[in-house]
Amino acid sequence: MKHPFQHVLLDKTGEYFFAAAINSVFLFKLSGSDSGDAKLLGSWTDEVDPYYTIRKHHKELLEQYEQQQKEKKEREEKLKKEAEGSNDTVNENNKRELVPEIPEEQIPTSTKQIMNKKPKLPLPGPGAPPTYTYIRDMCLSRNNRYLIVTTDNDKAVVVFEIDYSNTDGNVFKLIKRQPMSKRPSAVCTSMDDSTIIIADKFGDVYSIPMTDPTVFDDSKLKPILGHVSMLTCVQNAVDEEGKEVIMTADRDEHIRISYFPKSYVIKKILFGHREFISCFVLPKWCDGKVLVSAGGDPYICTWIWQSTGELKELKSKVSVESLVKDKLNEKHLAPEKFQNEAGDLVEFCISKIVPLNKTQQIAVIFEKIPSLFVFDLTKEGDLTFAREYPVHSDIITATASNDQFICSFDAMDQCLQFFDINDDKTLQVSPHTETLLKAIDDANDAVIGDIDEMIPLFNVYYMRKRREH
Amino acid sequence: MSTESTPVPVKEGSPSESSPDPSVPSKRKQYRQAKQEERKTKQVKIAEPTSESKEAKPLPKKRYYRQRAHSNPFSDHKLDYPISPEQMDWSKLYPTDESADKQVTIADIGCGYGGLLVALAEHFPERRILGMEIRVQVTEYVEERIRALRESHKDDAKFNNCAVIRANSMKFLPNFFRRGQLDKMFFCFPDPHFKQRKHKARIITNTLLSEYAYVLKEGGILYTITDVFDLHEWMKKHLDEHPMFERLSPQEEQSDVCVDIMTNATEEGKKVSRNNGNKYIACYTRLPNPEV
Repeated sequence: MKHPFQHVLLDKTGEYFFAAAINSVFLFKLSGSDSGDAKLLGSWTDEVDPYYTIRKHHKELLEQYEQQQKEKKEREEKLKKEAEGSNDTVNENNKRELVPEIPEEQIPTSTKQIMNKKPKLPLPGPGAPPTYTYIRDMCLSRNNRYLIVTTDNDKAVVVFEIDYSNTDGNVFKLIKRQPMSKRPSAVCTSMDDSTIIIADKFGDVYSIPMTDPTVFDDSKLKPILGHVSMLTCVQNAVDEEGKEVIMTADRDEHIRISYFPKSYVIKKILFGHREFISCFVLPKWCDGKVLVSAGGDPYICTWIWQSTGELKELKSKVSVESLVKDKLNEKHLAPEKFQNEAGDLVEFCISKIVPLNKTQQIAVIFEKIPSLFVFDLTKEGDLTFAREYPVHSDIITATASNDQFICSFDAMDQCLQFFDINDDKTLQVSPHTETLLKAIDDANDAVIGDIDEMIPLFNVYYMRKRREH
Repeated sequence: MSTESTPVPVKEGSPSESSPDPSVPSKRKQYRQAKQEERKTKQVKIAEPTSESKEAKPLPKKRYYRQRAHSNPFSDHKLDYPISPEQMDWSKLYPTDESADKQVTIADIGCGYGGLLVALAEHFPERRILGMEIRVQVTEYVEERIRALRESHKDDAKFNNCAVIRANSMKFLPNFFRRGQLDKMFFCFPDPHFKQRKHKARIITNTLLSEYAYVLKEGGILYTITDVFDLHEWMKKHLDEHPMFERLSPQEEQSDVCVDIMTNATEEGKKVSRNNGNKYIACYTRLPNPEV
């Protein structure tokens, strides 16, 4: 059974298609809309052991244990020697010195306790829930030369230089693998592509150089900015004065705009969401002035984020509830613990927004809903619903270039759908879907035995806050 | 932190506190419920004067509001906070304060039982002061305390300029205050979070300082005081490293009246003095925005 793609990415030209399934990234060359062929240029599989974190943690513990044992032995020997040496001249003064004085650095504190037993590696036994090695996020540098992926087990950011001309399957040239102390949840690059910006689940944002292969000690990296909330999306942009800014969105309804690289200066905060924000985009045709954001709210927000008037940024809130109301099913029921008495409380959320540059529209993806919703977006930030495209399965993610739109599905039979973007603002299923799909499916070697082994592909809804006390 | 799950330290010889029957609420709960009903609403609100008596209203009893000293700032509490500073209804908190458009300019972050809040309110009658506290019962206590003080000072209209709100200021400070709104921010005896992996839960971190710099106006002052030397060093280190803050000179720190109030008026400060503990003070001024 082939695993569906949890991440898809088209480059700007629409020629190169990146797809991630489990722990592998594939790069295909699509040969335009006339012939409909997909050629596998290369792939990369993350081979870091799934128990990396456990091992790493225990490696430190084991070392600590050995060190402590060594110190203990030395101390005992020293005491023994002293005891022997002082046996000859027993007097009152010497006796007192016999009481061993523990140097201060050896006094165990609550965090550094002396271990008497050798720590065991707690590897999961049979029947334990599966450990996933999963490519979490993928980002292409602005100049298309570098691919940045974030991995699961060692919480790393992996940077590749892409050698498109390479024909022997080795298109991904690994530059570095930078482990982070907390799991990265979103990555982007600075405007000049010299720096990678990494936002993590703990709310911190780090920056590392793109091309320098030096790998830093993750405990020594210092955040350049931080929220006290999980970050879901990060983007660099240029403001009305031509200054570079970092935009960060979190689970606590905030979109923060800070300057870059002086990220300790907060430019502004965009207020208007009431639930978590899962994504935001800066569509190209709006000259970078408009930001569109969505998440757990029943509406999409558009912002004129560059507006200089204080807190006048929120342009519109477009309700989407009526669009999806009749499409909600038992998959959208709230968890039992937070369910209402009638047991019919349903929740929905927007997992992704994809701008369609050619038609100046945005495609909106709702989690666990087998339909695609397309909205018109003007340069002034006015958003209006245009059309719905029902599809055969729930949509995981999607990507677009100028002429093409590709959707990835939570389905074993047909995991991708190719659309041509027409000039008349419609999407049309590509006539080459079948051949393209076959070529891509053949190349996809991410195979799983059964459905239980599949990673949870819908991972936005759990961010909804439950506010228990 | 819910009332039910909080372990209540039980004193010997007070059987009502450790009632074995869970259906009978403990004395402290009864007391708090009675107080709550008295004011009918959870927010501080001075309703119509209830009694004409001139007697001073007794202060609430702290022993019924004790709560453990820690609260996890990362968990999703049931909090009321405005979507944006524009949507904050301050009249609920400062109902008798005449100037309706007056802004809060002094914030006591983690105000605890409100000692500093009350002292500051007396010292700066012209300013609006807000205490922010994450623990429910402690916040309730401060609400009651302010209410009692306002009642007994009806004649001279004191304490109308201070209020308290339950908030997680690590997450939602910008929801309450506009950019550059605050003049003074107090961090008095914050939770030390000794464990290394809990350090992000500390209230002074280099990333949070950027947020404090955002709500503080240029030249505004951030005050810190603690009895934990390690924490003092930590706060100093992060504030020194942050490009938007500069430490006040020792003379400035000594001559600032707020430093004196903060050292002697806070509950925690008094406790430290009783135990002959040390108090470490560091105050920083908010520098102008650099050229970006």
